[in-house]
Amino acid sequence: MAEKIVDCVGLYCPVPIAQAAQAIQEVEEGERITVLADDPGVENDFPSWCKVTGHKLVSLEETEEGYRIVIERRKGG
Amino acid sequence: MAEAKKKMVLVLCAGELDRALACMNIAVGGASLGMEVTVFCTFFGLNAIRRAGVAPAPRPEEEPKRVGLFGARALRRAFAWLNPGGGKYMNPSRFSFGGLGRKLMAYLMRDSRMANLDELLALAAGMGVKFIACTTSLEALGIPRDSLRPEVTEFAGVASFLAEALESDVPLFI
Repeated sequence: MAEKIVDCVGLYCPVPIAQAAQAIQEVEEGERITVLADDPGVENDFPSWCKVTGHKLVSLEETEEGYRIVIERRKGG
Repeated sequence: MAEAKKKMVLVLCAGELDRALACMNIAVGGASLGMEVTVFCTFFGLNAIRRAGVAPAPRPEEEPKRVGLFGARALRRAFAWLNPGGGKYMNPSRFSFGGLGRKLMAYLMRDSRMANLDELLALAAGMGVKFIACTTSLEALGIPRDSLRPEVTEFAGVASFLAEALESDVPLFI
Protein backbone atom coordinates (compact mmCIF):
# COMPACT_ATOMS: atom_id res chain seq x y z
CA MET A 1 0.00 0.00 0.00
CA ALA A 2 1.54 3.28 -1.10
CA GLU A 3 1.31 5.74 1.75
CA LYS A 4 0.24 9.26 1.06
CA ILE A 5 3.02 11.71 1.93
CA VAL A 6 2.18 15.25 3.06
CA ASP A 7 5.32 17.35 2.93
CA CYS A 8 5.00 20.33 5.28
CA VAL A 9 8.69 20.98 5.83
CA GLY A 10 9.20 24.72 6.18
CA LEU A 11 5.54 25.42 6.88
CA TYR A 12 4.14 26.73 10.13
CA CYS A 13 1.10 26.22 12.26
CA PRO A 14 -1.73 25.90 11.27
CA VAL A 15 -0.73 24.77 7.77
CA PRO A 16 0.60 21.27 8.62
CA ILE A 17 -2.59 20.42 10.53
CA ALA A 18 -4.73 21.87 7.76
CA GLN A 19 -2.93 19.91 5.06
CA ALA A 20 -3.15 16.72 7.09
CA ALA A 21 -6.88 17.31 7.60
CA GLN A 22 -7.35 17.64 3.85
CA ALA A 23 -5.11 14.69 3.00
CA ILE A 24 -6.78 12.30 5.42
CA GLN A 25 -10.06 12.84 3.60
CA GLU A 26 -8.46 11.51 0.44
CA VAL A 27 -7.64 8.09 1.86
CA GLU A 28 -9.94 5.27 2.88
CA GLU A 29 -10.68 4.25 6.43
CA GLY A 30 -7.79 2.21 7.81
CA GLU A 31 -5.29 3.71 5.37
CA ARG A 32 -2.43 5.89 6.49
CA ILE A 33 -0.87 9.21 5.67
CA THR A 34 2.64 10.34 6.52
CA VAL A 35 3.25 13.96 7.42
CA LEU A 36 6.73 15.47 7.24
CA ALA A 37 7.11 18.72 9.14
CA ASP A 38 9.72 20.77 10.95
CA ASP A 39 7.61 23.19 12.99
CA PRO A 40 8.28 22.04 16.59
CA GLY A 41 4.61 22.73 17.40
CA VAL A 42 3.58 19.57 15.56
CA GLU A 43 4.96 17.46 18.39
CA ASN A 44 2.01 18.48 20.53
CA ASP A 45 -0.40 19.48 17.79
CA PHE A 46 -0.73 16.17 16.00
CA PRO A 47 -1.53 14.16 19.15
CA SER A 48 -4.18 16.80 19.97
CA TRP A 49 -5.55 16.75 16.45
CA CYS A 50 -5.85 12.97 16.56
CA LYS A 51 -7.51 13.08 19.98
CA VAL A 52 -10.20 15.46 18.72
CA THR A 53 -10.77 13.95 15.27
CA GLY A 54 -10.51 10.32 16.35
CA HIS A 55 -7.82 9.38 13.84
CA LYS A 56 -5.07 7.11 15.13
CA LEU A 57 -1.59 8.48 15.71
CA VAL A 58 0.51 5.53 14.63
CA SER A 59 3.88 7.15 15.19
CA LEU A 60 5.55 10.49 15.71
CA GLU A 61 9.29 10.47 15.46
CA GLU A 62 11.98 13.09 15.27
CA THR A 63 14.14 12.86 12.20
CA GLU A 64 17.07 14.87 10.93
CA GLU A 65 14.77 17.13 8.94
CA GLY A 66 12.17 17.51 11.66
CA TYR A 67 9.30 15.17 12.35
CA ARG A 68 7.74 12.20 10.64
CA ILE A 69 4.17 11.55 11.69
CA VAL A 70 2.06 8.60 10.60
CA ILE A 71 -1.70 8.78 11.00
CA GLU A 72 -4.34 6.19 10.27
CA ARG A 73 -7.76 7.30 9.19
CA ARG A 74 -10.54 6.26 11.50
CA LYS A 75 -14.26 6.31 11.09
CA GLY A 76 -16.03 9.61 11.53
CA GLY A 77 -12.87 11.67 11.67
CA MET B 1 -15.87 12.82 17.16
CA ALA B 2 -18.65 10.76 15.74
CA GLU B 3 -21.58 12.91 16.93
CA ALA B 4 -22.70 16.26 15.60
CA LYS B 5 -19.95 18.62 14.55
CA LYS B 6 -18.59 20.95 17.20
CA LYS B 7 -19.05 24.63 16.45
CA MET B 8 -16.82 27.63 16.87
CA VAL B 9 -17.66 31.25 16.30
CA LEU B 10 -15.02 33.95 16.15
CA VAL B 11 -15.58 37.70 16.29
CA LEU B 12 -12.82 39.70 14.65
CA CYS B 13 -13.35 43.23 15.86
CA ALA B 14 -9.92 44.82 15.54
CA GLY B 15 -7.91 45.84 12.52
CA GLU B 16 -4.51 44.87 13.84
CA LEU B 17 -2.54 42.37 11.83
CA ASP B 18 -1.54 40.19 14.77
CA ARG B 19 -5.13 39.81 15.92
CA ALA B 20 -6.33 39.03 12.42
CA LEU B 21 -3.58 36.44 11.99
CA ALA B 22 -4.54 34.80 15.28
CA CYS B 23 -8.18 34.74 14.17
CA MET B 24 -7.41 33.09 10.80
CA ASN B 25 -5.01 30.68 12.45
CA ILE B 26 -7.66 29.54 14.93
CA ALA B 27 -10.26 29.35 12.17
CA VAL B 28 -8.04 27.06 10.05
CA GLY B 29 -7.22 25.02 13.15
CA GLY B 30 -10.91 24.62 13.96
CA ALA B 31 -11.72 23.50 10.44
CA SER B 32 -8.81 21.05 10.60
CA LEU B 33 -10.24 19.61 13.78
CA GLY B 34 -13.50 19.01 11.98
CA MET B 35 -15.35 21.93 13.55
CA GLU B 36 -17.91 24.13 11.88
CA VAL B 37 -16.34 27.59 12.01
CA THR B 38 -17.90 31.01 11.51
CA VAL B 39 -15.95 34.27 11.55
CA PHE B 40 -17.91 37.47 12.16
CA CYS B 41 -16.01 40.54 11.08
CA THR B 42 -16.99 43.87 12.50
CA PHE B 43 -15.53 47.40 12.66
CA PHE B 44 -11.86 47.40 11.70
CA GLY B 45 -11.87 43.62 11.69
CA LEU B 46 -13.60 44.05 8.33
CA ASN B 47 -10.29 45.14 6.86
CA ALA B 48 -9.14 41.53 6.97
CA ILE B 49 -11.88 40.46 4.56
CA ARG B 50 -11.62 43.40 2.16
CA ARG B 51 -9.91 43.38 -1.18
CA ALA B 52 -6.57 45.15 -1.02
CA GLY B 53 -6.61 48.90 -1.41
CA VAL B 54 -8.98 51.82 -1.14
CA ALA B 55 -12.60 50.96 -1.84
CA PRO B 56 -14.19 52.80 -4.76
CA ALA B 57 -16.78 55.39 -3.83
CA PRO B 58 -20.32 54.04 -4.00
CA ARG B 59 -22.33 55.37 -6.92
CA PRO B 60 -24.96 57.89 -5.78
CA GLU B 61 -27.82 55.48 -6.52
CA GLU B 62 -26.14 52.84 -4.37
CA GLU B 63 -25.81 55.07 -1.37
CA PRO B 64 -28.23 54.48 1.46
CA LYS B 65 -30.43 57.30 2.71
CA ARG B 66 -28.40 59.83 4.62
CA VAL B 67 -29.04 63.06 6.41
CA GLY B 68 -26.70 64.87 4.08
CA LEU B 69 -24.65 66.75 6.64
CA PHE B 70 -22.26 69.33 5.31
CA GLY B 71 -19.00 67.79 4.10
CA ALA B 72 -19.98 64.24 5.08
CA ARG B 73 -19.35 62.81 1.63
CA ALA B 74 -15.84 64.28 1.41
CA LEU B 75 -15.10 63.20 4.96
CA ARG B 76 -16.20 59.66 4.17
CA ARG B 77 -13.92 59.55 1.14
CA ALA B 78 -11.02 60.86 3.21
CA PHE B 79 -11.71 58.19 5.78
CA ALA B 80 -11.84 55.46 3.13
CA TRP B 81 -8.50 56.66 1.83
CA LEU B 82 -7.02 56.54 5.34
CA ASN B 83 -8.43 53.09 5.95
CA PRO B 84 -7.52 50.84 3.03
CA GLY B 85 -8.55 47.19 3.18
CA GLY B 86 -6.68 43.93 2.89
CA GLY B 87 -4.05 42.12 4.92
CA LYS B 88 -1.15 43.93 3.38
CA TYR B 89 -2.37 47.27 4.74
CA MET B 90 -2.97 46.04 8.28
CA ASN B 91 -0.49 47.24 10.88
CA PRO B 92 0.77 45.17 13.79
CA SER B 93 -0.44 46.27 17.23
CA ARG B 94 3.10 47.20 18.21
CA PHE B 95 5.97 48.66 16.22
CA SER B 96 3.75 49.94 13.48
CA PHE B 97 6.25 52.75 12.68
CA GLY B 98 3.70 54.60 10.61
CA GLY B 99 3.21 51.71 8.18
CA LEU B 100 6.79 50.48 8.02
CA GLY B 101 6.16 47.88 10.73
CA ARG B 102 3.75 45.86 8.62
CA LYS B 103 6.30 45.72 5.80
CA LEU B 104 9.01 44.56 8.17
CA MET B 105 6.68 41.94 9.60
CA ALA B 106 5.66 40.74 6.14
CA TYR B 107 9.33 40.53 5.23
CA LEU B 108 10.15 38.43 8.28
CA MET B 109 7.14 36.19 7.77
CA ARG B 110 8.07 35.66 4.14
CA ASP B 111 11.61 34.84 5.19
CA SER B 112 10.27 32.18 7.55
CA ARG B 113 7.84 30.97 4.86
CA MET B 114 4.89 31.65 7.13
CA ALA B 115 1.50 31.95 5.54
CA ASN B 116 0.32 35.56 5.28
CA LEU B 117 -3.13 36.77 6.22
CA ASP B 118 -4.65 36.47 2.74
CA GLU B 119 -3.30 32.94 2.28
CA LEU B 120 -4.67 31.85 5.65
CA LEU B 121 -8.03 33.38 4.81
CA ALA B 122 -8.17 31.56 1.48
CA LEU B 123 -7.15 28.32 3.18
CA ALA B 124 -9.82 28.78 5.85
CA ALA B 125 -12.52 29.49 3.27
CA GLY B 126 -11.42 26.48 1.25
CA MET B 127 -11.91 24.34 4.35
CA GLY B 128 -15.44 25.57 4.79
CA VAL B 129 -15.00 28.44 7.23
CA LYS B 130 -17.88 30.88 6.83
CA PHE B 131 -17.15 34.62 6.77
CA ILE B 132 -19.85 37.07 7.75
CA ALA B 133 -19.59 40.84 7.48
CA CYS B 134 -21.41 43.11 9.94
CA THR B 135 -23.71 45.36 7.96
CA THR B 136 -23.74 48.21 10.46
CA SER B 137 -19.96 48.47 10.48
CA LEU B 138 -19.83 48.35 6.69
CA GLU B 139 -22.13 51.33 6.62
CA ALA B 140 -20.37 53.18 9.43
CA LEU B 141 -16.96 52.80 7.82
CA GLY B 142 -18.25 53.46 4.30
CA ILE B 143 -17.15 50.08 2.94
CA PRO B 144 -19.14 48.97 -0.11
CA ARG B 145 -20.16 45.32 -0.09
CA ASP B 146 -18.63 44.64 -3.46
CA SER B 147 -15.20 45.65 -2.17
CA LEU B 148 -15.14 42.62 0.12
CA ARG B 149 -13.33 39.46 -0.79
CA PRO B 150 -15.35 36.72 -2.50
CA GLU B 151 -14.96 34.47 0.56
CA VAL B 152 -17.49 36.66 2.37
CA THR B 153 -20.81 34.99 1.79
CA GLU B 154 -23.14 36.53 4.32
CA PHE B 155 -24.09 39.91 5.71
CA ALA B 156 -25.69 40.05 9.10
CA GLY B 157 -26.04 41.72 12.47
CA VAL B 158 -25.85 40.97 16.15
CA ALA B 159 -28.83 38.62 16.32
CA SER B 160 -27.29 36.30 13.76
CA PHE B 161 -24.05 36.32 15.69
CA LEU B 162 -25.83 35.55 18.95
CA ALA B 163 -27.89 32.80 17.37
CA GLU B 164 -24.65 31.17 16.24
CA ALA B 165 -22.89 31.89 19.53
CA LEU B 166 -25.68 30.19 21.51
CA GLU B 167 -25.12 26.99 19.58
CA SER B 168 -21.38 27.33 19.61
CA ASP B 169 -18.99 25.24 21.71
CA VAL B 170 -16.17 27.77 21.35
CA PRO B 171 -17.15 31.43 21.04
CA LEU B 172 -14.17 33.78 20.93
CA PHE B 173 -13.91 37.55 20.70
CA ILE B 174 -10.67 38.65 19.09
